[in-house]
Amino acid sequence: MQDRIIKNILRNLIVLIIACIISYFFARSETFWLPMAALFVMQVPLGSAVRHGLERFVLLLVVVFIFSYVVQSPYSLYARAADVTIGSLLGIAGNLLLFPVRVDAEFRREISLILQQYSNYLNSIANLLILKEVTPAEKQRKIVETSFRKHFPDWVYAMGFSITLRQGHRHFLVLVDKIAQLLFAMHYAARYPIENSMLIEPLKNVISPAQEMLDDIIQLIELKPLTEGVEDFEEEITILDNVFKNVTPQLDLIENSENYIYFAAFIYDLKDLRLTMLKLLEALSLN
Amino acid sequence: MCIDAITVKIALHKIRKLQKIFLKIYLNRDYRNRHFYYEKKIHQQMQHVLTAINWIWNVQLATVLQRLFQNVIAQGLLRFRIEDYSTFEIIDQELKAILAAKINKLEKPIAALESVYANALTVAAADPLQFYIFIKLLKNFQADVCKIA
Repeated sequence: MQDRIIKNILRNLIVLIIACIISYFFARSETFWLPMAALFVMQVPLGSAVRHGLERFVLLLVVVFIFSYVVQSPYSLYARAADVTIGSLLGIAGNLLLFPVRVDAEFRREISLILQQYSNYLNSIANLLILKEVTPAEKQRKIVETSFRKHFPDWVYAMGFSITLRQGHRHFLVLVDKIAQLLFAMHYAARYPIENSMLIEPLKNVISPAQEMLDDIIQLIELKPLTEGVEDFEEEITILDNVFKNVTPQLDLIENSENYIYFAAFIYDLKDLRLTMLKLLEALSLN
Repeated sequence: MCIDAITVKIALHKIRKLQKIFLKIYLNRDYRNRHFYYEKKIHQQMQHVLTAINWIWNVQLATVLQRLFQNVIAQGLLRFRIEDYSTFEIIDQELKAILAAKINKLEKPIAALESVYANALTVAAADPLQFYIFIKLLKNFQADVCKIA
């Protein structure tokens, strides 16, 4: 992330210097239009430099038109438009050619970091449910939420994102998003801990392989080979489900106990989590 | 205190908007066809909610809102689990009533939904427990909103 920020600052700085030099020698209107246009078209989401750059260029032309007719005299309209055009071309070219960010590598890096946080969050949720440890779960929740707000690669959702990568990356991101939602829902359900000790062991037997599967996905994303094959935990979930049904054989009984309802929800979440992770693995194997 | 009241109101409004997206999915029954459109919308709204909650300094209020957010997310998971979306037709009117009601006046429409659940959904739904969990979450949502109010 820091590397990307430094590259971005350097890229902006270089383009600004070049724009100032060009503007000083060749600008036909006020000197600020060209550097301003160059910088303005550069502030776009990752992977969509051309589309968003052009959109911003059109916006700038509108601003120039309004500025020329409302604020200043319209005599310099064409000169200003020419400066804005040169500045915009310079900005778009700068984004494409200077320190280019490899979108795919950046996506993999950010997703692997996020999935690592999910893995820790899943562990802390299990501890909340089994050991009633509230603080670690809250701490991990905060980390996941901050990452969700600030570091989630949602530039993949932006209009104009690379056509070749769009479909696969968006599909992948929707699945990662779904895991976050499942974890939030699991955290909610885990606030109602279940007292029945018969469920603890089968639950542990599900959480551990679930975490391992997440770790395997992270390894595959980082393009590292897996030492062993990915282990599915369908059987463990079935065992947990059966034990749960044995403890509460009838729907009527479940409805009478609040904590059992949330545990039922937790099992649904675990099943969905497994299916989502399998889809992620499938998407990775297709790549 | 005044700032807290405003930020809480904003966060509540955003949480309710997220809940409305889920309710519309159940009402429109076009999730399979417009899957990406809805997921993008949900993602953006989730970010808005988390940003709004992040602005609340009062820890107790933030905790309740956090719980509300997680509750709403859990309500939304029904969209992945219901294979046959026509099941939602049975509770169409009740869902519309929940969607239209004010955030602090959800008690009656939820009670109506519970009644339909007892009379029809327990028989018609492939897995009634999922709907029971949904109703339970709605009830908790309403109780938590009342706490904040």
